[in-house]
Amino acid sequence: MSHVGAALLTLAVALVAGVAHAKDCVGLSKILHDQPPSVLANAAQAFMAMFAKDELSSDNCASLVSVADKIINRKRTGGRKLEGDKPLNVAEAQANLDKALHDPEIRARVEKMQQQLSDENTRLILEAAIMDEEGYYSARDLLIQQVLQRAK
Amino acid sequence: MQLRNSAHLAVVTVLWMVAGTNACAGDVKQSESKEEAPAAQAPDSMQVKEINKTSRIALVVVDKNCPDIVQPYKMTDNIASMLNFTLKDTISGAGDKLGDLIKGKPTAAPKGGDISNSARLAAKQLNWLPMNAEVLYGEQSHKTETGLLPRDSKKGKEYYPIADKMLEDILSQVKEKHEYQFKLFILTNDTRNAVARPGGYLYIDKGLLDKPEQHPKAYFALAHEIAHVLQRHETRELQSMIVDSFTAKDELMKVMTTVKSDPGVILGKVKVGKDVFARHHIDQELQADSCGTRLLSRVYPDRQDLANSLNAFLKDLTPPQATPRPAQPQSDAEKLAAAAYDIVSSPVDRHPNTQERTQNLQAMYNEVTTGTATADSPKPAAPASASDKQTGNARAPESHPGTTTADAPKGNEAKPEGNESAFSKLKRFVTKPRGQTEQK
Repeated sequence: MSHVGAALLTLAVALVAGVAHAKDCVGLSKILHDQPPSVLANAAQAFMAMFAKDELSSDNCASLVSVADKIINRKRTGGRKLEGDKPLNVAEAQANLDKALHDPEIRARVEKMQQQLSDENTRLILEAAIMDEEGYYSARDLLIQQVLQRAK
Repeated sequence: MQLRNSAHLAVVTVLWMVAGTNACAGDVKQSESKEEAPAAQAPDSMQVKEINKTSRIALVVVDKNCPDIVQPYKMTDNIASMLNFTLKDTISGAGDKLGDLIKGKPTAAPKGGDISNSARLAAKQLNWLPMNAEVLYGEQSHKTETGLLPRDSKKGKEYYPIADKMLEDILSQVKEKHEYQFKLFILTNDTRNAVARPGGYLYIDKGLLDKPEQHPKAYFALAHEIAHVLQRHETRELQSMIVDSFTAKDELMKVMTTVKSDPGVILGKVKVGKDVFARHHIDQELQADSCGTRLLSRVYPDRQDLANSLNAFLKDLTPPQATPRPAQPQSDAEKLAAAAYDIVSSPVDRHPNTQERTQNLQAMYNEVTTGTATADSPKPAAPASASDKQTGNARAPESHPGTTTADAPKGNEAKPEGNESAFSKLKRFVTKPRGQTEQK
């Protein structure tokens, strides 16, 4: 744990410092400060590299932060829900993902991103961020679920 | 007796001071409002709340029929309610003491400085937490929320106008005076849920907005969440926690001295407390359903539309499922283990089961559309499972004639045929999943 933690901390500090010099992705910086799991740290690193090259926008940043929040399971506090949470409907989510990938623009974005990345988890996380940005939220949740299952 | 009255007076004074802050905060906002503040100017519009004495733990007895869409919270309301309660309680207490004297029993003098149970109860039930404190509480909680759809994003521009229109439609039907400034946010979820926080923070899933067929449920969801805020559900729980924190000393000492020899004592206490809170949460949810239905009956003059909205919500609930009843613990060790398991595994903020919500909505639907709740309420469908039988808790709704027809919109006045048609639809949903024939 100590080795992994130290490595993550070093990575996080490096990334945050990088961000400070490049563009502002505040939410992601905060998450990295909290020593995220390695899958997320790797994805963040890849994201930052693209972000620095102006290949990604601040909207992309917000979406990745949203995905990162879900991966590290930062729970909201308080509030009254209409009904209890339900498990993800995988069939609906898969249909949502298929629908998203039928959109040529989204498909092109996903394919371009996948060509640049070799790590499967990183690809899944960044694909989830694209789904979040495009409003395909159950597709995003399906991809996050896959990341979490792979991390077990 | 004098001491007891002094304790009451002390609580009244505290409430007066706190409520005074509330009223001041409200005055600022009201001065911006175009409307006059009737509660502050006309004594006959004062809302006197009946304080219920059946609640013992840090709870507020919930009237699931929702007689008041907005809970009274103004200084004048609180003081009037408190004085009304103090007067009754004093008379009642005097009667008890008189009875003791007649029977020759010694009468124990109240401990100096203690707040009497009844005064504590009143402090839990009245709304004395200032509005600005409630808003602050809501703000802090709001900051923990992630996954908000920004208003200026591509999807935000698409969905916020829809959500805003729904909120406006519902709030325009809240005729009662209140000081909330509701703030609506869309959550980046394809699920169909909604959330409310104190101070008027509302959240709705994007999944309730992107398809028109989900809009009837979206209206119900928003009305339900608005009801949570207007009933001050979360705020009142916070009040109860504050009040209880002043009174638990004796109990705590007792538990601390016995827990070493009997660990079951602490687990037992926690379990009882948790069970009561869970039940209270359930009752608050049912009350929010009821208040939401009342509000929607104003939004939808056509009762078929109202029925559609309720049905859309009911249809989306988790179908009742049979769960095997766990074996009853026999030995003390088993009981201890069972209590510990229950404390850890069951969430405190449980929702009512589908059966409870369906029955409650049926009764409320009847009440708001015909003004007759109990007598004409349908016989609830038989529970589908053993677990439903255990937790069904069918409620015979009380009739509140003064709160139904009087404030119902014109469109809701007697239309027996339309009502029958809409209600049948409601009833059909209830009976269908259980594989029964429709009751008539």
